[in-house]
Amino acid sequence: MDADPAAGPSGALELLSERTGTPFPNLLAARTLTRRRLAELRPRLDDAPPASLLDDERPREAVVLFGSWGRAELTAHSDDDWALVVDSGGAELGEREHLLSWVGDALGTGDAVPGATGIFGEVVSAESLAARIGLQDDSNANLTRRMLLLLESVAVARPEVHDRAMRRVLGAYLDPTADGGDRRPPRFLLNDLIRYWRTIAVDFEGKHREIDGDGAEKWVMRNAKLRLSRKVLFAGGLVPVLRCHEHAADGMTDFLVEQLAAPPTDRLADAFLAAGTQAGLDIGVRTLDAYDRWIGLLGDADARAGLQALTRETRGDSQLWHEVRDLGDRLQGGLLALLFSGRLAPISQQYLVF
Amino acid sequence: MVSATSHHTSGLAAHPRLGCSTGFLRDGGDDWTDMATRARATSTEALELAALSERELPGLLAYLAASPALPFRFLSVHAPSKHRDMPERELVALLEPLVGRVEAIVVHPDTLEDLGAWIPLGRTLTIENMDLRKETGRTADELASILATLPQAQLCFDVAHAAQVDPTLGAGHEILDRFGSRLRHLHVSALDDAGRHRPMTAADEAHLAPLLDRCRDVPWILEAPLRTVA
Repeated sequence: MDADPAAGPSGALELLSERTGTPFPNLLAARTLTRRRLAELRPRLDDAPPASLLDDERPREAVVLFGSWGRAELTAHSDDDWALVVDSGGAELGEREHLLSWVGDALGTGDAVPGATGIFGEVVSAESLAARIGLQDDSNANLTRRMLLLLESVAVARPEVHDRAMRRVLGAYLDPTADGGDRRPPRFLLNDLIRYWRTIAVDFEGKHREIDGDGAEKWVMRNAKLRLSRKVLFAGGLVPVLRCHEHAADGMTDFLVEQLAAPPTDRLADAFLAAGTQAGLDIGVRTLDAYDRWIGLLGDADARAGLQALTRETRGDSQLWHEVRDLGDRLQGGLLALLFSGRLAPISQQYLVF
Repeated sequence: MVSATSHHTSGLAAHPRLGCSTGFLRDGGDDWTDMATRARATSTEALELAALSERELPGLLAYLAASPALPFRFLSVHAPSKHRDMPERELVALLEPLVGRVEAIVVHPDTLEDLGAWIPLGRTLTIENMDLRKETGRTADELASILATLPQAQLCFDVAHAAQVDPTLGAGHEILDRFGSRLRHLHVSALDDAGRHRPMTAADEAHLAPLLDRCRDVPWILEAPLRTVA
């Protein structure tokens, strides 16, 4: 968890690139940019204000970045979606208010302002994330923060707190009294992950139907992200959870910690490589190459502006939209093949519907 | 609905991205609505509208111009490869409006003379590997110069053609080794002694499995019916 996602232990995307001669130029450039920007940020955030809790002997706050930072897919147009992840508390801000303000001066400025959902730029308590899974208190925001912490987060200051938060949340799911079993996917975590993906998809429609909302003007970009970025986020969690069937129950936490420390594209590349077949390499290349082209479009100011200018009604005549739809189709085809035609097929069939 | 499998014994039917070519659904007429309706009985996942003869193209273009409600997630058009009279640039001009409306426009490389004429079709242009009756486009080496000249073009891999060219499947593997990253979809069938498409037997499926396994992420277009329970 302490490692940058761009320098994670797996490096499976780079390995797939080497083995197949596929350059993945946009993904690898985004990783390089993510790594460089994190290296630039860290000294600034390590230079904490006097008496900051970041300076305590046992730090209790981590500055954590989410989204494209956590996926190691940073482009020049990415937002700084950040939060102050703490072990516990958070409701009574106290001196943390000062800290939030200080971090807010360093991150999310200018065009990189965090998304306006209220998810980011706040204190996020690992205690709450772990204790409120399901039922009324598990709000949409709580579910989202918990999943984003697991699936696409990276610490920019005090990684040990981030690491504790990850293990605490995973521990809540993998608690043998709640779930358990050697060589089975942890069903509690699996169900919540699937719930999160379905929530994203349902909320996409909800945003579109919101009266006076921005659903119409943002429909195309949101839909494109649902087909690509969000799908990789989901699959990048789903595949490691299913691959827990390769482990005894007492080895699953370490396996998931190692997997989730790497970017989602590494987790997927690792699964394609783990197939140990030429088919795995072929399909992995096509799948991640389609995603690479999507990252290229996101980093292209003209393409991005072109997508943002489209509406649900006008998209049909757009070559750009057609390309995005095509990339989403290729990505999904590869992910379905990974899940349903290789070593994971029996596990996927057994666990993904019921 | 995805694949209808209940009355089929073929393992092909389990492929989640299966679809039909209208090439084997044609009853002598040009009723594209009827052919698309019959194709739905196999799958709503993919469909290839095959205007294999140039004479069939005007009817197909008129059918598509009417924007029919088609449920297929993947739609391709097979451009004419027989009875060709039209200059290539004229043919491309007719096909170009389909870019953005279909996922692939399949062409036979042996029918291409003016490669530059095909550039306007961009990545929708899809080059199919050929069988032994053709003089080019059969092997990776023969496809290489065409795909190099048309860098956006995709590959339609015909497993039956590849197996006919080299029953050891080595030539097919080489095509996938060199151009697999450009694979868009498959043509799936077996060939009879006259080179006509026929349903795959269980033995055909077993023989071709090493090639099919490398392509499980893309649509498979049947060019002959699935074998059924007797």
